[in-house]
Amino acid sequence: MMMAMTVSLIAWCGGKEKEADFEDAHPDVDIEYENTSVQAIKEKLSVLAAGGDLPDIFFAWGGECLNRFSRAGRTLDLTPYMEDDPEWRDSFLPSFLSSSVYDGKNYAVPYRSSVLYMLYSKQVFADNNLDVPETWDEFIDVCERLKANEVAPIAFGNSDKWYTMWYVGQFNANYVDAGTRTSDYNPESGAFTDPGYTKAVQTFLDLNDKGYLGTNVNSQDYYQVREEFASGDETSSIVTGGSENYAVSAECKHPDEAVAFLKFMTSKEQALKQTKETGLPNALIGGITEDNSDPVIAAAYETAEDYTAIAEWLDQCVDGNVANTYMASLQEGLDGKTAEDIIADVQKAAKEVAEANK
Amino acid sequence: MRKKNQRTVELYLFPALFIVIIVLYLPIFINLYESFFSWGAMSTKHEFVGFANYIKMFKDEVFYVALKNNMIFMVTSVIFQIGISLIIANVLECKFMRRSQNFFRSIYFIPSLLMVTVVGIAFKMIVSPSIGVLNPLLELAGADASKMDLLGNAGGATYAIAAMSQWQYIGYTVILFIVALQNIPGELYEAADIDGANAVKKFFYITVPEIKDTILINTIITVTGSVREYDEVFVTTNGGPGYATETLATYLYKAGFRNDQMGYASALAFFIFIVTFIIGLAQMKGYRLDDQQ
Repeated sequence: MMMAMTVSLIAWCGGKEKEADFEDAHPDVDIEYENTSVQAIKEKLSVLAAGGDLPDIFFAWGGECLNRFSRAGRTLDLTPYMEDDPEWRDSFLPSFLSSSVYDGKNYAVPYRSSVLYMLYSKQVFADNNLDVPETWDEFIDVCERLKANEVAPIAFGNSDKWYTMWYVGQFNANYVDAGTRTSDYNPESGAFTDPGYTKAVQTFLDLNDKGYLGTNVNSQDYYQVREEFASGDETSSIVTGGSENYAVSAECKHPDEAVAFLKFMTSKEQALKQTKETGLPNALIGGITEDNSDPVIAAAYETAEDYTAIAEWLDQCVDGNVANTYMASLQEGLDGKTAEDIIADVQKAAKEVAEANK
Repeated sequence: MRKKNQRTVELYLFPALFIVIIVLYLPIFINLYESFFSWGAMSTKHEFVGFANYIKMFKDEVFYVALKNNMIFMVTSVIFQIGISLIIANVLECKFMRRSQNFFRSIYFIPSLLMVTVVGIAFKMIVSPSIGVLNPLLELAGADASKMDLLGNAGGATYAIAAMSQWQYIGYTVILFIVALQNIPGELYEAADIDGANAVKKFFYITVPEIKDTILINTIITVTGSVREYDEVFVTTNGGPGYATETLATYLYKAGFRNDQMGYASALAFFIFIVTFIIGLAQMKGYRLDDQQ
């Protein structure tokens, strides 16, 4: 009799119901699923990695969040598996698959994707005779007119510090060219000396200074604000983008089974089902349609197939020290600190990280 | 015979001693050792850096912010959980309060039974400028609270968290003091009454000396507790805005697990250990617990 092989898995959401489907098809494999909260998963994986107890398959956002494992040789190189199965490789949205590439090798597969969009309330726009803005200046104009009508223009809460990163990450992508960003987001070469970074922070701080973000932003909880938006109290809410990946540990004893599970999870059938049941977008080409998703999201993803790269979440794609400095200083920025001082803090952290990684 | 007894004593002490050494003392030494290295959970590098982590610590602005915040917690905790709490305990022990003592004791004690997470989230909602009840209440009382954002402003957030902590734990020390007060022999007070001592004199010359040990224990618990302050801050502001409410323990956690600077975190941890150790030692010496009776 064959012994059941155990493949352990840690992620922050989803997977439980798929586990049963997979085990039905592969009776000799036993999937051990552990769910962890989104806040805790990065730290949990660090601790497990330090203790040599990485699960066989684990969740990681794209960028440095995953690269730190790849650099340390803690993740399995999936490139050979992809070369054996080009169909599997080509099924992913290229921009999301590319975010898990380190040193030319694929170290993870995206099972979910996210793209940042700004939502607006049609009702509020109609009530205030506003057109949907298409340029930044039009957007500012809309904010100004809403403010004049005493409507809070942008729903924003920053009691957990990462919400600033959505804006600043996006502005960085707008103001700093891709090559410079890649070099700065790399812990070995981060400098953040490009004036675009300061401009990005300033653009964000201007939103706050002009009062578009509402009041008392540092104590407002994002989820609470989102609820208020959904219930019609606020006007708009920002929703850059990012891939949510599964990587296989280099220490995994049953890599073939682990990869089989990844293929199963990212199969078209499972991906369509995942999006339909949870509303969370998958990362496959043609994976999001009006059948399994919302028309708004389907429309948003039509363009996603043509992206060559995605500006990864700023708090995930840089070293933890840089990200935390960014977030803490931005929070101080909402309380009056200048953009120059904020970027000076970031430069200092990046320099320290670069020295430690030499 | 005596020697045999000695052996038995040693044998009985051994398991406890063994566990204390393995679980308590060994990690302290490992931590001290690791604090001389630059290393992270993820990186394969483990490089000897001497005192670099300690030098970095003493040059780190956030470290001093954290230290200052721990002092705020310490001072408010001693004032409220020792000073005010002792007064409350005495009032509850007064003859005219005896009948309603149970009621007040429960009222004061119940918060300390709640989870910090629950209290933290509730408190966060109460003081929230948009959905909270505190600001509207102050408005009703005639104060201008429209700009008041307790947890969102860097200047006052630490005091707001400290206040929450006092609300939660004052009842706990009140109970401990009441128990100690009830153990004071009634004759002492009767004798003092005969000598014509007033309430203040009785408090300072009978009550305080009699419950010295309890005061000591409570002080050690609250003071070392405020040096290790972590959970209240984590639930309410997580060190924000910026680094305004960071304490040594939250900063240690972030250095180690978020920024992956385990060596630096070890240095911070060792500093916390030394501070608590010295405080504990100084208090024990100051009160000369061992010299009693």
